[in-house]
Amino acid sequence: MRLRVKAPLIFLVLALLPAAIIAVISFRAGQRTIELNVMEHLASTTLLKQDELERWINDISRQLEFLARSQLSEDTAQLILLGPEVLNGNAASNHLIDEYLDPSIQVRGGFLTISILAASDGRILVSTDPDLEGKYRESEPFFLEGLASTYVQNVSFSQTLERAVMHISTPLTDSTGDVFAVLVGHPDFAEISKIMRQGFSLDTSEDTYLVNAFNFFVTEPRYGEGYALQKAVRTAGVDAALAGETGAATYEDYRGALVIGAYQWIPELELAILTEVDQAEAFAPIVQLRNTIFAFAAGVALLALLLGVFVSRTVTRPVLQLVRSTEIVGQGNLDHRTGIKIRDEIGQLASAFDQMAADLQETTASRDELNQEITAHLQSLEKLRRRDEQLGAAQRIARLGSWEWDIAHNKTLWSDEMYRIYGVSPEQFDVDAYEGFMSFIHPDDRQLVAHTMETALSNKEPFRIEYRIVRPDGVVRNIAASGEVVCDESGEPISMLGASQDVTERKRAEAERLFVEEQLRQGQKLESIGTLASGVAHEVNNPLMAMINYAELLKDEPEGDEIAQYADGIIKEGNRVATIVRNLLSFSRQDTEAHSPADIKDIIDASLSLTGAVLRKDQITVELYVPDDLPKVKCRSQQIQQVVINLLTNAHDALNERYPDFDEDKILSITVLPLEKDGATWVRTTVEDRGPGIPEHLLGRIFDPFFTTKPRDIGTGLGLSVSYGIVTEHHGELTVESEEGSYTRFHVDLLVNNGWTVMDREATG
Amino acid sequence: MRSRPGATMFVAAVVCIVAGIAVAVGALDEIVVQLKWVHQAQFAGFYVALERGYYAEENISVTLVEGGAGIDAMQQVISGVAEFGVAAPEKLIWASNFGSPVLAIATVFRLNPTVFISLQSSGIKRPSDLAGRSAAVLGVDEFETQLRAMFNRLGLDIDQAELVPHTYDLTGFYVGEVDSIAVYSTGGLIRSRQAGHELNLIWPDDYGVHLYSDTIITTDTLIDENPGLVTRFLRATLRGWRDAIEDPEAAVAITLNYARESDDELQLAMMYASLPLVHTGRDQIGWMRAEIWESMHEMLLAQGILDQPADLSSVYTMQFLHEIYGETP
Repeated sequence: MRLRVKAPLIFLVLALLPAAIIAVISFRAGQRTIELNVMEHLASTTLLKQDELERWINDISRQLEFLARSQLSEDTAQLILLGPEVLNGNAASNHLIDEYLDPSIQVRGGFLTISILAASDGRILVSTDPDLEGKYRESEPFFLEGLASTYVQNVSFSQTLERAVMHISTPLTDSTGDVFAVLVGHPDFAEISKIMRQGFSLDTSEDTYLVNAFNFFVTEPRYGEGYALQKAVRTAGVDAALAGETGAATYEDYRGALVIGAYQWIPELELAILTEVDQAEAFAPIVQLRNTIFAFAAGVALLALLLGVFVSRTVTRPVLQLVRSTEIVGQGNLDHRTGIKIRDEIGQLASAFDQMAADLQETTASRDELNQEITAHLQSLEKLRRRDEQLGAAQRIARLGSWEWDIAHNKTLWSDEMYRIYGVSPEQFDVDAYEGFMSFIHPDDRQLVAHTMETALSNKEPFRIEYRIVRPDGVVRNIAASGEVVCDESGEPISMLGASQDVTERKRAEAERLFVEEQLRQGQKLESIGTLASGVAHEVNNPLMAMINYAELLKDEPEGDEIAQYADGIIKEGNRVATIVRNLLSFSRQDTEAHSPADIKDIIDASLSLTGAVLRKDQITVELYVPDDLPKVKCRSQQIQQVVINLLTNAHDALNERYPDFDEDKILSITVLPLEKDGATWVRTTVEDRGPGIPEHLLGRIFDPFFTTKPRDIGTGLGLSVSYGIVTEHHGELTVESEEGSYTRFHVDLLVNNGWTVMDREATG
Repeated sequence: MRSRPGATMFVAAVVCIVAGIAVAVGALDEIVVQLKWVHQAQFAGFYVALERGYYAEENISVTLVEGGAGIDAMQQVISGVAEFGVAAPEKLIWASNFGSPVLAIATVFRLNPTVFISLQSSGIKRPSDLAGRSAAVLGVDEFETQLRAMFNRLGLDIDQAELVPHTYDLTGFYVGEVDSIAVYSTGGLIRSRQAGHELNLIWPDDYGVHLYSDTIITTDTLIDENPGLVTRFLRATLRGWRDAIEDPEAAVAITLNYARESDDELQLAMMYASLPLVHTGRDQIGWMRAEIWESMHEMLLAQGILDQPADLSSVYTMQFLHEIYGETP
């Protein structure tokens, strides 16, 4: 809620609350006081009325008694002696009426009728109401009791009169004191009602009435007609009175109106007497007071409201102005000022705000400058970062790392590329010092490196060096490094700066180039050897055939067994030579060979025929297991033969390495087995030697080109690589298993049908 | 634990309610009440008690059966057709000498509504004035008995009057065919006055003839075997009557649900006429005084209706009124 609304409301509540509390409290107190006063008043009124009623009844009882003791008694006694019939409306009874009864009624009032009843049978002898004469009241209490003494009978219904009546009776005695008649009067009931009403002005609702023990009205209440003995009344007041209680209370009366009433039970008359007044009337003064208080409270509230509005305006107006100023300044208009010139706290706030705006204006100017500087700085930082990135990228692309060695503190600082070249991460490895760096250097090159560095330091000259490093994973890399020495003013070297480049690839390419050149030379040599061999073979073949033919002829001569034996020898050895020559011819023709289904056994035999001599020379035992019923394999048999020869050569070298001389374990075994793999039929050729085996960490690299474990003068490092290429080209697999110090096993797995067609020949040839 | 008394009380309350319903449903007594005459304001208290559920509160299911010509309420009760009845007290006294097994337990009308009316022009004011005049009473025992009793009480010879059959139709009376006719103040009297006739009234009560009317009766057997039911029935009935007295308009409205003559003005007049007879200003509603019974007894003896004195203890009992109101009248 806004202060503009809240403040007047608070003032209103503050004004109304005490007024309301006071109003309620004073109203309640006043009401209670009035209630008590009224109750007291009603109770005394009730007592007064009761008193009056009793006095009235007493009075008329006395009146009747007085009449009974008058001459009437004597006259009546005399008349009765004359006999009852004389009294029936005749002159005698008229005498009594005219002389005694009527005057009593008319002079004294109070009675409606007075009758004389015969004591003997309760017959009404004489009555001021002629209709009653001759009737009997022998069982009525007023008659029976009246025989003894004065008796007041409560209001009861008279059938004869068809209304409620009260009876007062008193005995008539003769001179001897005997009761001979009863004098009975009907008191005028209206008199009682009159007594009940007496003293109440018309403009008050105050009323007193009588109720009998059966809850029936006995007198007419103010707001009812014909209620007497006709209408029952059940109110809290009547019930309390009938229960014998005397007191006062507030309750609903017979009309349902709220009244204050006093009630009392009159045991002698067996009647309840109640005096009631309407609450509306009784509480009128306090209601007036309440209205006055309300009017006063309303006035005060109005005043408070006006005050609240005034106060809130004096507060909210400058506050709203402040709010507007805040918005304007907040939008960036720092020139704006509130313009409030008041001396109170809000005025202070406003001037503080203006001061703040002014300060802000100043600081904003210097802030802008700072911002520009920061921007420039950030831009240069960005440039630097990009340059650094460029440098890093350049180093990475060129595989060129830069480094610095702080000699004095023996600390090294490497660029990222350096770490990549050396195969370590900055977190992983500590290259802080010269010693750390030296630990990477290939042991064979350490001396060279150390020497170069020392020379450069002592001569303070730039240096250039190539050396090898061994990475933590064992990989050897070639590094070309160059650097220069930085000296202080006194010419003392303080640090060394340089760059290192990974030149392994370049080196390899170089070696490869050299190898290819060598191969080319070798190839040319081989080709010339092949040409030479084929030429020689042709030349040898013809005389060899002639030799064999002659030996055949010689064998058929009957000269003797010995000759035939020699001839056989010649033929056998001749055929061997022929085979060698043929193999030589076919090997030298390999490039032109097409693929065709070949028998692995033939290939192995041919291979052994070329290598057998060397193997035998080095006392290697060859174990051969080749089944006869092997399927033929689609291949270029010369290439496969090259693979097999290669493997045999490797095995031979390995066995010689382990057993330079004869050993019974110096065994090379060749096993060929058919194999079902990947849903196809394969032929596996296994070449196994019991040589030193291959260390496990090198197993993965033996098929790499130029990888070799042999001395340089023996191996080129290309044999297995080429073999691998050939087998792969055949869609076959060349695998190795080895145990160091135990054996090495190569498997050549070839598909019986590798899917080659005649057309492939051109494609692959 | 604090909630235990509350819970106990709750359980107790539930048990009580359930038990109460069980009793209410299980032990509903069905009874028939034979009224003395056709449904009219004369029996207003019964209708009020029934309509306002006072019988139901006492676990009684009540069927009110109206009477009429030829229906003897006392006979109906004796024969067991009805458990309770509304009957004339003098018949009870008379019948007791024949070993009748019924007792009066309360009286509705403590003043007899019987009144002998004659046109003002006839000059008949007292019973003695009936000498040589005609009085229509024959055929209605109650009327004849009271007339004879009055004459008897006053030492007059009934033969001096000419007793003629009673006709419920008052037209003959209006035109002077009979000099006097007995009517009820709660019925014929009202109608005659409504018809605009100036009347002289002779009340038997004025001449020493005090008769209750409409006594509530039941059998000795029921009183012996189920006095609780009798108390409950009477309590509810008197409560109905009390209501009727205190609010006659409401009582008449309820009566109209039963009455054949749905003339509400007549019924209301009847009701107002009944009030002082039921509640005279003396004693509690329904209360009976021994002297009145004795007076009735004497009257019957004097008239020779009773040939020998009856034992009044076998005619009425105050047992149930005492039970309800205590000893005070």
